[in-house]
Amino acid sequence: MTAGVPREPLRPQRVLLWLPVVAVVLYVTVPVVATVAFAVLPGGSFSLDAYRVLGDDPSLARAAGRTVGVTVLTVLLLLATLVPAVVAVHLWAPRLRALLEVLCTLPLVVPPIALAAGVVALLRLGAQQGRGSAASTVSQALQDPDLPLVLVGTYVVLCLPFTFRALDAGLRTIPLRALVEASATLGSSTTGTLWRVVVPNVRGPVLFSVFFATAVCLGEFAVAATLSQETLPVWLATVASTDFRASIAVAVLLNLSTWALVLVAMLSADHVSARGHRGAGRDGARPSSTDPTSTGPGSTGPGSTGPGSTGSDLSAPAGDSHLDDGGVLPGAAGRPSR
Amino acid sequence: MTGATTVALPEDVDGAAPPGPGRRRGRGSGRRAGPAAALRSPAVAALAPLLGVVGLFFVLPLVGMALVSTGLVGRGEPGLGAYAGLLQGSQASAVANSVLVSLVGSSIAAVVGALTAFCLARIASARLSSLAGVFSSVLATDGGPPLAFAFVVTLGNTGFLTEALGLGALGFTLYSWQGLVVMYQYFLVPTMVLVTLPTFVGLRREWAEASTSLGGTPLTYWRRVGLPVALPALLGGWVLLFGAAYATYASAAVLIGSGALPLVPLSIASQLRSGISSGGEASAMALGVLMVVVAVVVLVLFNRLQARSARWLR
Amino acid sequence: MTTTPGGKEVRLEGVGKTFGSTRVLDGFDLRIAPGELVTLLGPSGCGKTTALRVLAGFERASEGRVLVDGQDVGGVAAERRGVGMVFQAYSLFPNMSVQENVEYGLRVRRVDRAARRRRAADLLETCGLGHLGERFPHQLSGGQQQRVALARALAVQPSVLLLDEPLSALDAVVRASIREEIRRLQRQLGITTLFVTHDQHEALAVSDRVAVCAQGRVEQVDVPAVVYRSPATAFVARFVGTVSEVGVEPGVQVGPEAGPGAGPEVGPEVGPEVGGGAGPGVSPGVGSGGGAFRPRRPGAGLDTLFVRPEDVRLSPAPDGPCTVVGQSFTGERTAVRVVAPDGLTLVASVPAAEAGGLGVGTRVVPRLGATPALRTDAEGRVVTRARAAALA
Repeated sequence: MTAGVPREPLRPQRVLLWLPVVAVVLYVTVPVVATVAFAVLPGGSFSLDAYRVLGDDPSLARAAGRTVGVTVLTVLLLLATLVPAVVAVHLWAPRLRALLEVLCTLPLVVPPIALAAGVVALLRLGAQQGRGSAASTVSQALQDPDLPLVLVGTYVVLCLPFTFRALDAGLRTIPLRALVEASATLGSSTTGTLWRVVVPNVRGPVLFSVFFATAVCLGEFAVAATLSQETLPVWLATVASTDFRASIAVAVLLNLSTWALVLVAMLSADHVSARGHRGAGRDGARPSSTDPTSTGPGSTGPGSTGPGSTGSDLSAPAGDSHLDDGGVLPGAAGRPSR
Repeated sequence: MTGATTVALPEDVDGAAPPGPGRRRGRGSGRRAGPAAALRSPAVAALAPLLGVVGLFFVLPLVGMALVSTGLVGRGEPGLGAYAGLLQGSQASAVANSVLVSLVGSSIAAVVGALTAFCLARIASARLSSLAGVFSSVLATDGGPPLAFAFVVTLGNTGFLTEALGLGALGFTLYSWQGLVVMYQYFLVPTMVLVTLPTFVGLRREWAEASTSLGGTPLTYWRRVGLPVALPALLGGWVLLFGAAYATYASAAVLIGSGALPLVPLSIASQLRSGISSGGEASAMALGVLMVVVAVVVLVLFNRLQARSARWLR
Repeated sequence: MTTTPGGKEVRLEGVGKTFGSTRVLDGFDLRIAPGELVTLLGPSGCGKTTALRVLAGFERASEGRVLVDGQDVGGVAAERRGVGMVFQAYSLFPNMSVQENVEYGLRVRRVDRAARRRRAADLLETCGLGHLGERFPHQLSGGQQQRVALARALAVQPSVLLLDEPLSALDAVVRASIREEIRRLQRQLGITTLFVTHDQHEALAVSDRVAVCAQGRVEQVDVPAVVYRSPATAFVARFVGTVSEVGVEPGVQVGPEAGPGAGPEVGPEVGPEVGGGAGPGVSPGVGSGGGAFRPRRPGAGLDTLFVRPEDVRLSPAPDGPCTVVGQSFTGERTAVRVVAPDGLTLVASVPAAEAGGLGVGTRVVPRLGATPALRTDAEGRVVTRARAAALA
């Protein structure tokens, strides 16, 4: 049994292995530190003056309000449409699962700026139908600057690939159908069953979806800017030309909260995937099981990069889909916040 | 079962044979047509809202984009003129710049990221690998104005590193294609780590030891086994990075703005802004279609390479 | 023992290995004669894989010597030791066909293309894989993969073959057939072989000699029958084969030669661990043949007898001290489990024909049909062992 045999002690050449790691860590940290320093250390001494913009600038308050409104609606619409669809497909129509998967994965292929272009095309087509026409009215309503519903719909689409995979993976790790049938034979009504059996089992993926969607809404720039909707990121870009330090100050806050949200999202999905995979039994013959697959969302199986892809593993448990079997979502290609 | 009866007796379908009990059941039960039956299930009611959202905010815009780009809808001339226009002038230079930035950016990130992942795998600490996975995931999603600002503060014309290292004297400026390449590394390198770390971790110790026991040196092992096994994942990661760099808009838009260095995504935005009158709309849509095509190619290539890698590393 | 010029003698002398604060090998001694197949048998963590890896050169011994044909190979790099190695599983190079895998070692040695093709084809034929040369590892079953791994290790004509649990990832039927295959090839080539396993059946079936390993040292090395019939230590008795442990007063002889009645064992005296179940009517051994004994659990102040199932005889008797609690049919013999009043469980192996009279609930008198495999005293020291000479 090689399992449990400790590794060789540290040799000098092992120190060399840390060089690239340290270099990348430095490269990643320096700009963050520089930004924070720029925001709170103007002229070398600590000051939170830059943050006065938070209270002083009404345009910031409006942008924040708009962003929050869009975020709340996006999260609600995402959950209200996606959760029932995935649960229903798993329970009653497994044959439609493939269709749903394709549908939810496709937005990944379309860069946000291209999607934004399409939305603009559509809105303009609507507006061209003439004042007072139904299409024109809808187009107007969707672009209402107080609550730009067009962003809500588009953001739901941008979130779908990752959130679908999280939910789908969460449901695939449990015998949902058997659980629901068991619950029914024990005398539970359908709604009672759904509440008691399904909800606890999708809690992790739902949490992931909430945090991830929030992160997307707080960070998305391409669509909002193209549609001239001043959300927080767009406000940042606008204000940068007049008050750079203020925009940096707000950017620091925004960026840190986006990171925290993504982190929390991945940890909540990780929790679920860990539960789902417990006992999946990795190969005991690999003592040095440096196993990034156990970090969960971002790293499931060779090369799946989407934070939502919680379902697979190198030692894939039964029931992994084709996508997990190597066809994996290149999450970064369609990353919404860029 | 009743479906089989119907298929086996074609005259039944023609209605030539007298309606038998089997046939009636075949029509009535609805069990034979799988998708049709599925459509009547409660699943459809649950799916409908999602289909609505996807149709309205994804399918329709893309269809609209394709139609406008070909001038079939909107104010442009019908035809492929907008696509022909991509070969000339600022459009062509936007495509060329995008390819240049993406190619150089993804190549550097692929090498650095793969090297980092390799070292992480060799350090062989489960905790470090987990940590690297999580942080790479977070950083791979980074972008937008905050990223651009961070680089302006650090490497801009008066950025603190620029001044500390005297980069300005060396002729470096962040507001160039080289600058974009440097900035893109911020999310490209973590993406590469994310994609290739499982591969390097998946290289089995047994392979190296088998090679050694057969008389091979470490160099033999890497030349004949290690590198060939990792190659699909490395290429896949590289392709993916190219796609990611090509599609990046927000941080480039904030850093470069429009004009100074045309890129495909920037051109889309500026032509949309320049409006309906100038006929830029069709050409913006054509660029959008081009982006989608590039993204599809990237996805297909990446999936193929990953599938091969996954098969080997199972 | 087959001694062929091809095989070399292997010795591990006082080998110790420490990882950090863990002592994995501690005074590990083992000699493998030229052409011999020795299995290293032990539970996981006993150091057997480490011993094999020290021999292969993947680990360096902290102390002690590793000798191949009398030469100390401690300083020789793994790639120059000329050992063939077969791993547990998944060791085939995934990017190479079966043919290329087998050729690998020859290619490294710069054997010319035609020669190595011929050699690989020959070996694949010998291993029953002639038709699979073009396949890739992921297209093969686990058993086929291990055959290829064996062919690959043999291709370079190693002086020593090391097998690290090569069958543990396979299912039972395949395991048996590959086991025979390995044995056949090993005999045919006369190659000195060390086979590491935790499966005692595998070890007993395949080896010239078995080395039972515990806590970093070898407890016993001998031919399989001796290891089974005459274990050197309590650990070996427990680890190899099934054994029942019976407590007995020091000095009291039990066994077929001890005569009827087993005198002092019968009496009113009750050991501290005997529960109330031992009623006054129970008088084991009374009126029966030789080998009867008082069935009780080992305890303080008692010797322990290690009894093999085939040495236990059961005779039904209405006042017998033990009760049959279970049977498992294994073909020609049936394992019968009986329980004594104090909770002692005995396993007896009886011919299937006799099992009919030993249904669950039957009261029985147990007897010993042979000297116990091992007897230890209260401190665990060996008192007597079954005579090995008669078995060897």
